[in-house]
Amino acid sequence: MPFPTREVRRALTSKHGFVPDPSGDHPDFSRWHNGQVIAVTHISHGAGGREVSDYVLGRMARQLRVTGPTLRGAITCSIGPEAFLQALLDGLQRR
Amino acid sequence: MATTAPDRLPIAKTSRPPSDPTALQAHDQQDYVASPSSPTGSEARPIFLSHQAPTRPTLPSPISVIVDTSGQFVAEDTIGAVYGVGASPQEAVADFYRALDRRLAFLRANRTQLHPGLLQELGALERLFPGR
Repeated sequence: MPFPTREVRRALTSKHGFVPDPSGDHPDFSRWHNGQVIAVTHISHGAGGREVSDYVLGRMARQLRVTGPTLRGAITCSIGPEAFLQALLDGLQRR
Repeated sequence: MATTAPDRLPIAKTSRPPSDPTALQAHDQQDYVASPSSPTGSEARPIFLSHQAPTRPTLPSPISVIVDTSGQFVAEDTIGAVYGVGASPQEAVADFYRALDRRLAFLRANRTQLHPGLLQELGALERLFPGR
């Protein structure tokens, strides 16, 4: 199921502490934790930008080193901020 | 911003995707291989492979391009750090290189504050895309 780009952006920034590109020129988001950058992703606007397809959401999940269902859960709120943070930290140990 | 380099990916055909990606299955796979992605992305494969004999030995491309079920093209690297999206393979690869350059710039600018996992990723990207 595709997600509206606005919903993905809002979930990353409002629920999960991602910081948007300070210039506002690019759809890039970084997650900091204890003074370290632990995740960086972007929402591509390459094909219109209104929706994030399932496949592209999977690419974002791979960038973040979490599973697709974990990222989807983070967007739909079935996975809370603490659990998602832990998933991001766990992913850093794997690759 | 650095310029893009879409010529690094061997692309034999340039065409818009059909409105129904499943229609690709009717094509002769000797010409090119097309595989719509699954919702999970686990079955995605590169779809545009040159069938022309290379004029000189080339290294395997670090980028693959697929068409997803919504008909858009997605370019991604082999380590899953960067992707790009477009209405054509060329647009997807150009978007990929823009995203790559921004990611490299961000990681380099924050090198001292990167988690070791991201520091490893920076090294891997610099090895995959030397000179960027």
